[in-house]
Amino acid sequence: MASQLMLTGTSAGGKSIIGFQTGIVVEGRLKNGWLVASGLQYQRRTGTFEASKMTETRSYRFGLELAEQQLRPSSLHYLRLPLKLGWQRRHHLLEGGLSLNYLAGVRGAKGNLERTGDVPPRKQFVAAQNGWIAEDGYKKWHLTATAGYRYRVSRQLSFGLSANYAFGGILEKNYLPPAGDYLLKEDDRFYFSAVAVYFLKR
Amino acid sequence: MFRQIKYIAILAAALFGGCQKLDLDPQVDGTPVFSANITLNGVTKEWQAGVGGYYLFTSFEKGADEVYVFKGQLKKDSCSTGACGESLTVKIRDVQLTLNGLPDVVQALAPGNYPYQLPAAADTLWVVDTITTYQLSFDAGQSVVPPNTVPVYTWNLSNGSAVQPGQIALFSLPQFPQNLEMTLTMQANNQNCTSTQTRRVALPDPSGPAESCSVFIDTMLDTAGLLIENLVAVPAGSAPFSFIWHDSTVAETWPVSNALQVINAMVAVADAEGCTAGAGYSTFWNPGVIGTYCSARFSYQVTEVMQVDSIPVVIQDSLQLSTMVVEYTDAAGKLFSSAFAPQSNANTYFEILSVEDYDDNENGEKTKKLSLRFACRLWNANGSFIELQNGEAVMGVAYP
Repeated sequence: MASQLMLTGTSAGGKSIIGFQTGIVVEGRLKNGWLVASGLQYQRRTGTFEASKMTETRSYRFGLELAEQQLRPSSLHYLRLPLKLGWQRRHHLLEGGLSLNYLAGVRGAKGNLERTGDVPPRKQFVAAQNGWIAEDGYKKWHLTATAGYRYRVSRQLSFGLSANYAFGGILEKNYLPPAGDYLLKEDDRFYFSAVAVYFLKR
Repeated sequence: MFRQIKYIAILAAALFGGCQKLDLDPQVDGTPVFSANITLNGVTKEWQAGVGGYYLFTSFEKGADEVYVFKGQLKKDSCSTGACGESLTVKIRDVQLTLNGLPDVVQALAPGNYPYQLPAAADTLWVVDTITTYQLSFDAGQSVVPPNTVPVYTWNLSNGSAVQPGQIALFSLPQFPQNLEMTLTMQANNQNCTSTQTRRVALPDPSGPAESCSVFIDTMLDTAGLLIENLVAVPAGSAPFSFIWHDSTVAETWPVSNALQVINAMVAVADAEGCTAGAGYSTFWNPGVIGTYCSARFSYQVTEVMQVDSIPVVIQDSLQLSTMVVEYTDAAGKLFSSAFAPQSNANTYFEILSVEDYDDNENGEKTKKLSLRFACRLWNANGSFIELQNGEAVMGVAYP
């Protein structure tokens, strides 16, 4: 299966496409069109990130020189364990369930805020290293509720739309953004996903 | 499909090889490099570049006289007019003229003691100085002169000053010597009468008498009032007095009968404070004839005169090479400079203790870091001054 994650109403300047997920789903048929599904999925969350961690080093030369070092994420990477219950009639399938999400890693950059030559002067983040960065500010685990509809185009292929709700959000509670007003502008608890499922074997 | 495989590979890397996560470096704060610590009129002041908005501005300039000046200024980084706070500036003039090429900063900023720059780079400088002199005025108006006589006065000061004639004498002394004495001699030649009075001349003492002790010789006539019978020493000062006459007679009076044809008497007196004075009396004396009486007496006054004068000083080095300027601007923006007047205080010094290369400044100019100690007097444009003492600073200057 593969999904595109979307927001319908976003904060000012936020993105509407906030990532994707893909993985393997195993379905078990029950009586009267009921089915259960589970699997292992990988989710990549993107969006508009601000610094997740910052230090300010005071050094002196002719005056005070503040070296502001930041960790700035670019994507969040989750492993998901979904458990769903569905009901299918002819081409139509309704499903809902819960997913346990594990934050496997945060990609981003470590860099410094450096003064630009603009007038008036401003500071700009300049990345020094890219890679997996410390996960400060983001929950290691969170739970998501999902409800959706899929239409089976064929015996193997189906498309659908799901509504998702992340309980408690994906940000650590009481963690203040070290720079700016937010860690991730698209940190909405409620989001949609457009789903495509292709059965390799039935 | 390949994209998905790629991200699964990334995920696997995160799970199994993601232990090396990038994190921020530990926060280590430094300490200020440049600072200054001075005492201004007894008040200690301290500035550090990077603390309280202060910044060390380093620069250099080449004046019309082709001499480089290396400058360091501790002042607030950004300020509006009137709210710039205090600032301290050090300017160092080059050791030589540099018509072309670059200055030799190693020589110009070498450790050692340096003089302060004088107010103007001119050949002659007028230096304001203060001179104290002592004006002595003597007046013989109290003397007793025989009738129909024009006396001749002679003033003789014990310090060797030229003898002066006249009833009033004026002397001017650059210093006031101890045990200074004035002797007034009054001669009434047509009456063959001479009298002297000698007194110590002392500086005015607010807690003591206005003048020192004195004595003059008077005459005591016989009971008939016709003839001089005795001479009497009449003292002024702190009683009791002791007297001694020229013939060692120790008494207040001296009998004229001791004299033969000429009275030539002198008396010395000492008062209770140790003040001494003298008087003399000389005239012809014939028994049975009333002698001529004359008596030299004088008063005096000593005045200290403080004279502010301008003295021309020839500046040998009009370029004032290797001289220093220290400037302080107070919180109100008033400038005080060591170069507004010559440094006359003995406790004035400027020493470069050490020199080392430092980073380029914000304009890309090379700089030197200097360790300094200094003390001087700083004047403002109105002529008032403040004393800068115990100055210690780590400053920087730029050079080409």
